Amino acid sequence: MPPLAKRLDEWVQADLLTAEQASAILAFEEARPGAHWALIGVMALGALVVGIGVISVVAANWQSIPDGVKLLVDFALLVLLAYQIWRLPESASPLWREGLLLVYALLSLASIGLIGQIYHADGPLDQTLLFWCAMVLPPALLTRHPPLPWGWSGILLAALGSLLITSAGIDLFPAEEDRLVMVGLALPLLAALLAVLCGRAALTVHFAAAFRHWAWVSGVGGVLLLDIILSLEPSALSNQPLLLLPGVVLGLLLLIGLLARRDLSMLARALLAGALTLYLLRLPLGQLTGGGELAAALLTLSFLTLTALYLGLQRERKAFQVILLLMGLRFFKVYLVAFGGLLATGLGLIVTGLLILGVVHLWWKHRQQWILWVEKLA
Amino acid sequence: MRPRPRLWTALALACPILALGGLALHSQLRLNHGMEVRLPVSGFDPRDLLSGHYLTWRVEYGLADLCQNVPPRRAGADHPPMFVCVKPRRFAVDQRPDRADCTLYLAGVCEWNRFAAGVERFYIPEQEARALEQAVMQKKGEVLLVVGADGQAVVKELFLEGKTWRQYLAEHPTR
Repeated sequence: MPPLAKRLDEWVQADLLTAEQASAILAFEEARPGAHWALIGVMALGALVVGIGVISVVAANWQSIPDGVKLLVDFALLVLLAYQIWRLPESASPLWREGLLLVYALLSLASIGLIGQIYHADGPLDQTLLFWCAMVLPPALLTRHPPLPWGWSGILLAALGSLLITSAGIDLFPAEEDRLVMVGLALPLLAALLAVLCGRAALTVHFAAAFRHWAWVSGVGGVLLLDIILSLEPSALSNQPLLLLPGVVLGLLLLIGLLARRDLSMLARALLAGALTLYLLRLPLGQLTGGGELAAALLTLSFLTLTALYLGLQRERKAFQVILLLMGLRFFKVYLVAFGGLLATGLGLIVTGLLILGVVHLWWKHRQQWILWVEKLA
Repeated sequence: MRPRPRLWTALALACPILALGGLALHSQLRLNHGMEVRLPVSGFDPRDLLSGHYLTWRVEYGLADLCQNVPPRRAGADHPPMFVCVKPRRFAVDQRPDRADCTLYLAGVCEWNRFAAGVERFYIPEQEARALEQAVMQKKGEVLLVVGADGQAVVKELFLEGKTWRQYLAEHPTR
């Protein structure tokens, strides 16, 4: 029995709800756009497999079929799919609609490949993907569920990042590592900015969550990658302030927007602002401290702590747990470097773990007072 | 959410079809209009997940000074435009050749001492990849290009030992 149904059942048994109210709540939740996430996920997998199959067939190079026929069949399929999507009534199953939209988007990508194959076009992959993003954006705006916006936004950011790394500022920063840092720092902030902008319009609201997700993933991933690079080779990255400029500009825009957000509590805004500031300062502070392990760990763990606190406050349980896991791994590395051996590391971790358990026990015992204090702050 | 007007939905869905149609049309027009030139090639065969097997090659322009003494890129600038004049054969940097001096030229850039004009790729059937790759590596290949007035070229055909690659494979079956 699903968790909600089980809990409703318990509430009915405890006379907190009537059976009719429980049924009404269940029906309401079932009708939510995200209610069928598992089915939609499987549907997305099926559509993706179909799309990959189509791409593979294109890639196999149909020697015996004339090029004109290939194009005709391809366009006929596109028109047929578009027509099927267009004629779906509003009451149609969301699975059908989302599945068709996803297959349509993937078929469009396969069509670019087919045209490239027929005319022997030689162009960079990132530009091809940006072209696809541009032409598929209007139908993607018709979607109401995750798979297509998430895929589209991820591909857009990856292609944009690749294009910027290979061309932006190539003369100012000849070393590809420097361009990687510059773009890697700015890209998560760009994703966050796009999330804010998309959240303002009903048409693009499904893209907001997607961009937010990629902003978090690439931002946290970027901090961890920088941590690894600086700890392995502190002088690996050049000390050029200009590297940070795009990121700082985007970061300031985000900070201003963040502080103006009334839908977030004061505490949430403070936590996000703190995490954002630490994110921007991670590289310069890391270089200032000369790449020392403890300083690096402190910076990274501070960033992760603020991130975890914010996610916990927003009740993002899975993301919160992932960040906690990353913090645990980073702790492990600190101890390993600090103590220099598995035995000492293990003892150190046991002590730390006991401390953490102690803090959790104290929090649980006095949680009402803690919650009241946090609510006053919020 | 309010139901979207059907017209907007139709327009949104038509976008990819129109964009792809435009891409195909543009490619076909480039193939139909321009001057043809045949040049020898040598190369190797990687794989493109999106479009299948393809040969990449180096076009043999027969110019000793090709991509030599190219000025370094200026800060903030793109690669300087480069041109290979096919008739008569010569290499020029930065300045588009005058039509009076050069009846046909290709536009491109120098990358790693090679002149790249966007015509270094040819898609082939996966099962014939090995045979075609070997033929091109043995310098039996020539590429037929269609060159536009702006110097942009597209690949029209691959010739091996003077025959189209399909005719060549028919005379040299791999199985």
